Amino acid sequence: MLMDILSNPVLLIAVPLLFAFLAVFLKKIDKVLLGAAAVLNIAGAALIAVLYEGTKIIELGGFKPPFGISLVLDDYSLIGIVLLNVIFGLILLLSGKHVQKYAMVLLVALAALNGVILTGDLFNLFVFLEIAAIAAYIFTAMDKGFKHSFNYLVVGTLGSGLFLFGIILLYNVFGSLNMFDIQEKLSQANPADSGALALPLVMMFTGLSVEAKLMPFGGWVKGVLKKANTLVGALIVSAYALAVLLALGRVISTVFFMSGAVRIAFTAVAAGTLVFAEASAFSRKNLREVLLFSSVAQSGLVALLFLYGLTVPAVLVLAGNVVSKLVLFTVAGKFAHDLGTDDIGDLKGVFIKFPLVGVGFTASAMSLIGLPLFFGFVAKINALVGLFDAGNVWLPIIILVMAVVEGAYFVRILTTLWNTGDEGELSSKDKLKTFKLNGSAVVGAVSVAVAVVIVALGVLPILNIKQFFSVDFMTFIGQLLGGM
Amino acid sequence: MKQAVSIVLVLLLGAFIFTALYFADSSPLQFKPYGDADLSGRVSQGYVDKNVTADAASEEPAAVVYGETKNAETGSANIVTSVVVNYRSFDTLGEVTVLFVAALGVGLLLSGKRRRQEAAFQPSFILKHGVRIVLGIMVIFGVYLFTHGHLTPGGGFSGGSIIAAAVLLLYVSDNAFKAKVKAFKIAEGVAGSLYVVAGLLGLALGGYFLYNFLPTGVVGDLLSAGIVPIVYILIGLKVGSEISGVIAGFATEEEAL
Repeated sequence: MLMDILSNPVLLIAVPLLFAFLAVFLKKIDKVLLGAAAVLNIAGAALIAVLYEGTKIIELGGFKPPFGISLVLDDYSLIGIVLLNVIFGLILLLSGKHVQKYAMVLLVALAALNGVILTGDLFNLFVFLEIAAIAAYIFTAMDKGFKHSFNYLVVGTLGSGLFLFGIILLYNVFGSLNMFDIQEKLSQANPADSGALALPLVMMFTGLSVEAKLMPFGGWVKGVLKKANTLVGALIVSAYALAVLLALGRVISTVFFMSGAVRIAFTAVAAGTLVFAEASAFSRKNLREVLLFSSVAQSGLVALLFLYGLTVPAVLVLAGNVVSKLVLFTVAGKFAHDLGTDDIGDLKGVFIKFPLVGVGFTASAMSLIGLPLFFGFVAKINALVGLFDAGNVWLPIIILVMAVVEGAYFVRILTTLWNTGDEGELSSKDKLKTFKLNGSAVVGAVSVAVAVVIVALGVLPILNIKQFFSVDFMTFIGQLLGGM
Repeated sequence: MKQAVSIVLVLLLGAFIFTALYFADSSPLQFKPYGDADLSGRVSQGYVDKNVTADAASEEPAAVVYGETKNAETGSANIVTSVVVNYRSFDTLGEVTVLFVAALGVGLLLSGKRRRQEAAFQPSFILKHGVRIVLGIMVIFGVYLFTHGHLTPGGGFSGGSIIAAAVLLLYVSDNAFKAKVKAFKIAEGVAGSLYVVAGLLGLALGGYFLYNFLPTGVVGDLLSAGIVPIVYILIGLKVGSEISGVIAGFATEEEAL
């Protein structure tokens, strides 16, 4: 009984929320509450994963679906919550000193992002997206870049409005807000009739695209992230990206199935995002700008995979991307904060001074490119095979070409950051002495740990030792990875 | 140029929405015109009949009679309230959080060294003292709205807003007035925490988060509907103190250096 209550996923939402409200009048210990909530959520997610026995619908208020709101715990959301809470904990560990007065907002964001992943109700998804978005507007104003935050606020509010409009239209048609009730009713309908859903689907996709950073709706991201500190940057490119893209995937690949003109239009948006963002990343000189465009490109890729119903590869690509981006953006933000610059040219040879950070950064970048022996390879090969199996030739070609572009700029960054001198010159280490990084040991240790995980998950499927995992969750991951 | 592109885009979007809604084909998945929708197939029909938890869909719902029906589902005479604070209470907890985080943002942006902003006009004697008379009536009306939210139109959000409007009147009528922001913060935090605690109690006692674990009584009685009126009072206090806090924030300006 007690275990049932403790392993109820709603606690992942309720506990941070309760702590946020408590922090209002326990202002002195708000950071303690934040840390406690992060730790409790990691423990809770671990407990849920250990006790996981297949898809479970968690009813709220005691009303059965579709009447009450329900949370959905399945393979998809389980991976989401485990990854999200661990990432959130890591972000706090790495960037704790930037929290300042924002502990309450972070608590609310933690609750909302868990809700975005877990909810099985369209309107409830809107509510949690709204909370998460408002928290994000506040974070992005942290660096006093008010103009960009305001831009984000306006675009984000418009997007939410369109998303809500889509939900209203769907309620008119289906008489329900429960995702699986709608899915059920849709599966009984004649597929030829589904063209009538074009308007609500376009509205919802556009609304989600704003938060998922798909171009042209995600234009806010450049101004906001260009100068972001490690906390805000890592939150947006990693924790937020994970939750929002999982929600997008739930809507466009689980509940609805895309076909016809609607899919062509969405594919154009997603593929266009991929191409445009990789090209932009290639032309940038600042580390954070490169990373933010790379992040946008990955959103496009993940959305593309969801559009073709390739849920498993999409989740793999997404997971690999958010974990890598967490390390990459934290390191970039740290350089900008402590060394005063994130211009790639000014940081020549910085990794020689901080080799641990360098190893973690390099492994994350290589996984992102999709080199063999790294997790990113497993993810990308799954994606390409999936697209080929679906009879698609052009999209794999686009993805491969973009992977080459991505490889080119990351290799350029890595060679610069590992070498002190220009090509053909004698290297000198004089300038390195001026580089000082606060807490480089923590960043180094975490990034190396992440690197080990990335390499392990990249090598394991090749060795095919998945049978050693006995717990259900692990076999599931094993199956996912073995799926290549 | 930018404006021209925007106008074209908006017109295209408008044309898309218009054609999709009004040039209906016969598809069953088409948006239904006003009056054509089949209401009996919607979840809201279950909310009206108060028989959501019934097992069989074919079961004929018993009529709900005001002042007679006992122990009905949710037990709230106001159907909107039964949806907002019971059937979909989790969304309402979310909406309360939306307001909470928005108020938090205002507080963070408008914090620091600030002094009271003065109105452009000098409040007259009549305004100042008229407000004192109206104030009590407004607060009582606000409290009435959220304590009777499960019976009559109104509820926590409207009641709380009316109380905040009373605070706004105080600011407008008196240039020297400064509310105790700290008291607002404490009320806000306590009310929010208690809402979540009520949800957790439901989880512990009934097995579901936000479960209505109190007896629901007779439909139409003041003491009915279980935790619904309690939650609505908490929402009323929270919304009232939150919006008052926002007003207090906006009524200040940066200290001139």
